[in-house]
Amino acid sequence: MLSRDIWIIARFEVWRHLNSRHGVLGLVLLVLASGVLGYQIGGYTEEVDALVDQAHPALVVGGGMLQSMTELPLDQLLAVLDAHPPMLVMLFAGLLSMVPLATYVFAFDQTASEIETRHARYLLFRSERDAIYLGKALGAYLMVAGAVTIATALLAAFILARSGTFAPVKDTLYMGRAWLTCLATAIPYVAFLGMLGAVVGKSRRVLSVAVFFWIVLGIVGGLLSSWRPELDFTPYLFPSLSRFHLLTDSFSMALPTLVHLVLFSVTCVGLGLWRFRRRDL
Amino acid sequence: MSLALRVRGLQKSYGSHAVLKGVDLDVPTGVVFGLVGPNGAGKTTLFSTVSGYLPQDAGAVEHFGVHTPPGGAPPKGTYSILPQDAAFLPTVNLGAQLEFYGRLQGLSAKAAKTERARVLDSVGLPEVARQKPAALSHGMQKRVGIAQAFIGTPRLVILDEPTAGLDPTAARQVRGLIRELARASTVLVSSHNLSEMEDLCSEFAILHEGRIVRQDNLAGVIGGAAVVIFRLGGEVTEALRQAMLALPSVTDLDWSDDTERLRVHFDPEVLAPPKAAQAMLAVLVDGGTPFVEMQLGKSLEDRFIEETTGVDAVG
Repeated sequence: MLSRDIWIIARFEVWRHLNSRHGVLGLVLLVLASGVLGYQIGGYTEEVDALVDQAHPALVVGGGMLQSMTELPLDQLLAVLDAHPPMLVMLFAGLLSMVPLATYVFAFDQTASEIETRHARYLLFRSERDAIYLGKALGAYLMVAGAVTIATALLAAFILARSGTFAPVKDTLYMGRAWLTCLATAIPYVAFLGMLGAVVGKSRRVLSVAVFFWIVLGIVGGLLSSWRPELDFTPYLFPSLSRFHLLTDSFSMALPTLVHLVLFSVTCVGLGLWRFRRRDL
Repeated sequence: MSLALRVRGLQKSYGSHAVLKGVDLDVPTGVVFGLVGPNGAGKTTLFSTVSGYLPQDAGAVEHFGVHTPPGGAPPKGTYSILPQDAAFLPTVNLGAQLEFYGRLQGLSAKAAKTERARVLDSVGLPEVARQKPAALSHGMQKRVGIAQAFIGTPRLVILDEPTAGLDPTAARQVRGLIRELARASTVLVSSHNLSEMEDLCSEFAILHEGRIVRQDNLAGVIGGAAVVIFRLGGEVTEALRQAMLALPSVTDLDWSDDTERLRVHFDPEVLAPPKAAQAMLAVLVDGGTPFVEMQLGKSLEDRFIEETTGVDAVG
């Protein structure tokens, strides 16, 4: 019964978002932005490939900066750029960077407005609290997944279509991996926002707290890493720990990130459910 | 007696403020049961607790003999409520929302659609299925709220102040609706309109300061029929007083200048209440005493005031 209710609530959530004005507008904007961006940058694929080839020595020189931006060892970064078309690697990295923003936009309000408006009171005697919480989270995740899918598909389609050096199977598989990776990295963000919703109980405040947490964590992390880098625990408190490690073809390199992703998600879902089960609604 | 709802020792506090202080309540099946109490007595908190909105601090709740854990949902499809302060989703049409609720109650998609049409028909608003909540008046929203409570014909329905904020015509419609819907379900209703409650309900509980201070059927709550209250068109004369006291069943009488009411106490063992009232009426008519109203027993409002303030309301 729990899984049936979760699915019914999730489907209703997706349906109501897609039937709302902001949902339709968001979808149209996403399609337009992804299409236009994909079309535009798709024309530069070969130039970017050539540029990266030429810039190889410069990349080695500027490796420190790249390393700090991606948290990726330079040899791994260069290996990735050698193994895959640089434009697709950049698209993969861009999509990974976009996931938190997309999640904040599409998934910040899971249970919060239900609590705030007390609409939850029409649901609580019809279903278990766990089903409501998880159904809302799944609905939000499906919205994010839809956005990621549309963006990935349009951007990749235009880039691959306009590229003269397109390797159909290999590059499509790489984009498929990029898509799956982005879907996976969205999970801890959805879990994090769901937990905030259960704790805060007001939709706009969830967004404010989430953004505030992101900023404060960045500041604290910056201060700690400049003072005593070994004490900087802040990356573990946010879902984006070493996310660019997922760009590499090395499973052992990606594994700690995947483990963190799973642990962070499980912790947030656990804490969120614990709070939602006990709070007054 | 089978119970639709059984509550024992229910306690709930908000911080240091105790709202429910050990509520015991039995709601039998097949009745329209009234819960009355002054503002702040804890009625909405009690309903919220038995509905799983607020996990209780202590105490037990059973729906049809099935224990419901704190904050847990009652057995699926057996229970429903019109919450006092819940809102429909503003961006979704009401028909879709009602179908969604039906699906959550375990109905198939087709059955949920049929139920949506049935309950909206029953509240006289079939046309609102395609409308959003903002397009409806307060009264219409209330009726849709009642409609959602009867989706799937649950065995117990709680209506928290269903006529609050409605104009008299809409309130009358809602009362008719509740009577109609109560044929298939046990209904637990709260309202501040006590004459309305007296009209609707056959059993009552009075909640005062977080405790049930009285639970009985209508005759029991209004104090049996051992008193007849007359509202007279003038003062009580000595002749009238003597004539009343001369009736074999009458034990005492008193007159209140404040309320302009004459209360005549009698012994129902000597004469049955209708016969005793008839004899008193004859005394009034024979003596040419004008009167505007007669009431057998105390009103619910009188009893409510007595139970919650300790003051004799018609004294």
